[in-house]
Amino acid sequence: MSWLHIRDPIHGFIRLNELEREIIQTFPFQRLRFVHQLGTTPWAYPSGVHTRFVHSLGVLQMASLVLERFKFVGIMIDEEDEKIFRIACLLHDIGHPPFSHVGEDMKLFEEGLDHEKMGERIIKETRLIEIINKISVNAIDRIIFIITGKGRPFSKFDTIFYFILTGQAGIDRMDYLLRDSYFLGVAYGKFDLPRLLETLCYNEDYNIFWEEGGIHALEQFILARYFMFTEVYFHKTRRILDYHLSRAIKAFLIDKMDILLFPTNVEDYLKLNDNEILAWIINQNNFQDIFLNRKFFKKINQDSGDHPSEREIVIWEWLEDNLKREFSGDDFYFDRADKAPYKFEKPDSIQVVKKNNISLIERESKLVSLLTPINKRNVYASNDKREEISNFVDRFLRERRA
Amino acid sequence: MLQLKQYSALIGLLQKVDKPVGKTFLQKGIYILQEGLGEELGYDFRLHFYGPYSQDLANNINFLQDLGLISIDFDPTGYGYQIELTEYGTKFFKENLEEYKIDESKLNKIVSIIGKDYAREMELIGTTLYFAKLSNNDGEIKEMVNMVKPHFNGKDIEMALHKLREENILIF
Repeated sequence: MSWLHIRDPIHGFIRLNELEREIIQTFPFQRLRFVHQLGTTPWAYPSGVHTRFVHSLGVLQMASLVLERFKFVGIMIDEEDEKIFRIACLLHDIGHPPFSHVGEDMKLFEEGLDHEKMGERIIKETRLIEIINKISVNAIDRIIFIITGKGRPFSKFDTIFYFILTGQAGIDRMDYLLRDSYFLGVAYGKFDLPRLLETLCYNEDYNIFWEEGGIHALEQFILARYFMFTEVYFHKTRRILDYHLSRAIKAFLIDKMDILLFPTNVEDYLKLNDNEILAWIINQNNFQDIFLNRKFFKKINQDSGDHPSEREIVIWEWLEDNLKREFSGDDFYFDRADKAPYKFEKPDSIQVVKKNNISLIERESKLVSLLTPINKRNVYASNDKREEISNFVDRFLRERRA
Repeated sequence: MLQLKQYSALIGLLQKVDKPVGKTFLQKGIYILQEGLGEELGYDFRLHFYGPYSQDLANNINFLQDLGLISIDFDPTGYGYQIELTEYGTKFFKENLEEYKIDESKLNKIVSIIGKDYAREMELIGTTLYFAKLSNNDGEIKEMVNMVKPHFNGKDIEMALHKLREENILIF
């Protein structure tokens, strides 16, 4: 078998076999070159312009590393299982709309659709199906199960692969944390990948777990993700630009396709990418000001903090209702981090073995047990109304807190 | 409001069982409530190692803890957790969630099926129901459950199917 070797700043080289080469040459996969991994984050971190294309290749390489580790510890995985897992990793983000998570966060999909469902359709309705069918008759269903955890598995390894790819300590997260850190020029997302891989294990009683020696590497990995959320993914500029961008995308869809939300058919959906939408945006006066002259809503000084108390959560819920009554929706945006589809949750399903007993990382690590979800609430306001809204929020919070 | 109904289902289930339970009980109980008993709660379940699992449901459990409505402690005797309704949770439920209350008979069925709190049994029932939603052929269901959970044999799976039928959760 001949392999294609692609240079990569995170993994050194990424190796692709012939079937995988065929996959990356298809239009749906090439389209990922024009879908930024982090949406509007480059407005806050200008060098974060990497794409879903390189991340997908990175996750494929992570699959190689996991498979090597499994073989080393004596887990028998046959050639077909291996092929299927690798392709699932390569295709796990194939359904992403322009600017990645903005579409889900801002509800730009028709009811019942999201990037996963569109991914499933893209796999089944384009040339990808012909390539994948060369492996076996069940290959398509297995790949969709490994990516989504839905439908039926055909091998005991499918649930393991699903967990390895998408789990709380899965290889999707491992690659994006390292890659995002690298491209943004931050150190928050770094962790000891070789140690995590070296302590990864599987057996039929416990399923996937990490050896005791991997506990500190897991802590580092979980904290890396936490810091990336507080410093990057929930960065104020990115959050507000996602809001403005969603409005721009809606205007684009009306103008260019005469629809209000992302198209539901695969052919039209695949025509959309970041470049096409950005090219349109910079020619519209109202959006030009936002995206080129940085005249977007600005965060007011008051916020709830990353971990508001129960009382604060209730007060901020009231605040949202009161803001809606008092001001026009065109003058402010109320952002709730816990409602984002892409969020920091409590890491409560990562298993470790300590002193020969199976346990959970949350139980064995004081550090991890103290981590709680990020429930931050922010208010962003237009330049004209910022002072007025800020004063209103200030007064409201003072009264309610008292 | 769907979110209040989600909280009400969790609290109602804890009230019904009236003893500390683990996260598996809540995951499988709510799965049966939604997928087996037709209570639309808006959760998206996926097949994890220990049966159907919803990340949004896990987040809601943690959120109720943050609000002080439930308490979550590590189980001192084993692997998992002990979750209980707090006094504040009981009061809150009575004062605010009455109109979102879930039908008692549905909660009773869940307790009757998985209320013994044996993690292994909950995993089996949840997984069997998951596959019974994909096929109405007992042989195929057995084959699928056994493939992802080799530690359950045909007899175990038959027992799970029987239990689900007894409570009219499976009607084929």
